[in-house]
Amino acid sequence: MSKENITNHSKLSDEELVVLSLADRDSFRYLIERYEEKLRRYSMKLGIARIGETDDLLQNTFIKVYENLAGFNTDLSFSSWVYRIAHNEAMTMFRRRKVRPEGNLIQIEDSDLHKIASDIDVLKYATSKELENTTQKSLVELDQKYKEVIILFYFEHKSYDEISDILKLSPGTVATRIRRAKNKLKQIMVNQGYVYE
Amino acid sequence: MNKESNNTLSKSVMEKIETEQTKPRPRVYFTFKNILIWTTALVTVVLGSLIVSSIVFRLVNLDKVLPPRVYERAWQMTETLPFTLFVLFIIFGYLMYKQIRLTRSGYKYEMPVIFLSIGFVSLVFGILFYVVGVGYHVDRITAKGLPFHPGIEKLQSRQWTTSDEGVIVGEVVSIENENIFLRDRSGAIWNIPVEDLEDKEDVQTVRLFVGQRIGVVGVANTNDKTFKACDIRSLEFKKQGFQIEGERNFVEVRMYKCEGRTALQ
Repeated sequence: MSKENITNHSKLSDEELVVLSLADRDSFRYLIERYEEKLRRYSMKLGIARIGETDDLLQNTFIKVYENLAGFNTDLSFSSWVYRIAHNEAMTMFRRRKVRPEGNLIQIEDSDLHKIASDIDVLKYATSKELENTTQKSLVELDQKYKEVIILFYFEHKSYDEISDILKLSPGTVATRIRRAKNKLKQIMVNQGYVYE
Repeated sequence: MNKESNNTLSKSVMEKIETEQTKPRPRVYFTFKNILIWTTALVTVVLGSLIVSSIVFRLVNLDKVLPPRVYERAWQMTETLPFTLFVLFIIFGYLMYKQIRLTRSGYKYEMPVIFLSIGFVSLVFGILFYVVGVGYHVDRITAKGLPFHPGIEKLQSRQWTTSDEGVIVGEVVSIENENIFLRDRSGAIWNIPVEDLEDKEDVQTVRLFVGQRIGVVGVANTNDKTFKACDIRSLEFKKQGFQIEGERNFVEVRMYKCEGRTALQ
């Protein structure tokens, strides 16, 4: 692969790469490389903890993306579409193996932590470390349907419309679910004595 | 995750695609799938509308036109409601909802919006089908084939029960100068005199004919089997003039005042 080739591909938009991949299979590699890291993080946050399982999930996701490339709906962003497929694959994996998502602790960036902390009115005197621990533990206790909107909104920085496209929910339902998720999260934290009532 | 891992995954995915000779599905596959979803959605809308047209037909033709009886026996109204059709409509409504959700942007709409739209569209098309006479035909078919869904004639007979209550239902056996002869459900022949009628042509307004099913409201005299009628209503479902196909003739013949009609004389 020439350096010039890589540079050219990196300048292309997702949608352009989709068109290119349909004509030239090898170009699909660039889409994989563009999204692997994001989807790996996302799948781990969803509760797929083991490396091997994450790889399986990503492989299945990208093969499904490739198979359905011609059906990509240009009304959506490619990113939302790939996240949707990855999300569905993760849910299928949980169902097939009859296991609940593993309650692994999510690595939270400081900026995300402060955003979520201010949104649910966390005690101001708690240290960052305390906040991180509490938020991580509370997220583990959250129902999957609430956890996934919190992950997409706070940690993947997706808008309501993008979440709506990824989870195939109406934007109104997404807003309601995020509000309820925050309330539930706050309730869990209240029980642990970390937030104002 | 480092770049090496990235390359490993992309390499393994590309190898798998190559060894399994995975190819993107052709565009026509997605077009066909989309057409199938919309066709199914359309079919469910049509079926839902047909059910609504039948419901409208039945509600219009149920003879809830006898106020004293209706109020005395309000609970009886419930047995004439087409519950089976309501259940069917709910099933089709749910199928419509599922189909709409399957379309590309169907998930963007709130559930109540989808259900209200389904209800509105089915109602509009249902009334349209009813007006062109489809409701009548659907009612004929569903009355034969659906369980717990008695034919409208049976329901009418239940409502237009006995002469004791001032109501008879039966078949016109003959029309003579100033009398109509009617055979009721028990086989008894009733003489319905029309000599007191000021404008006898009114009888013609219901286009009475031999063999016609009619309901008559009035006062019965069991001694001479005469029935002093105040209302005569056709219970036939045949298209007449500009009527909707299958529509019962609502024109009433006002012969006498209906005072005292619920008691025997």
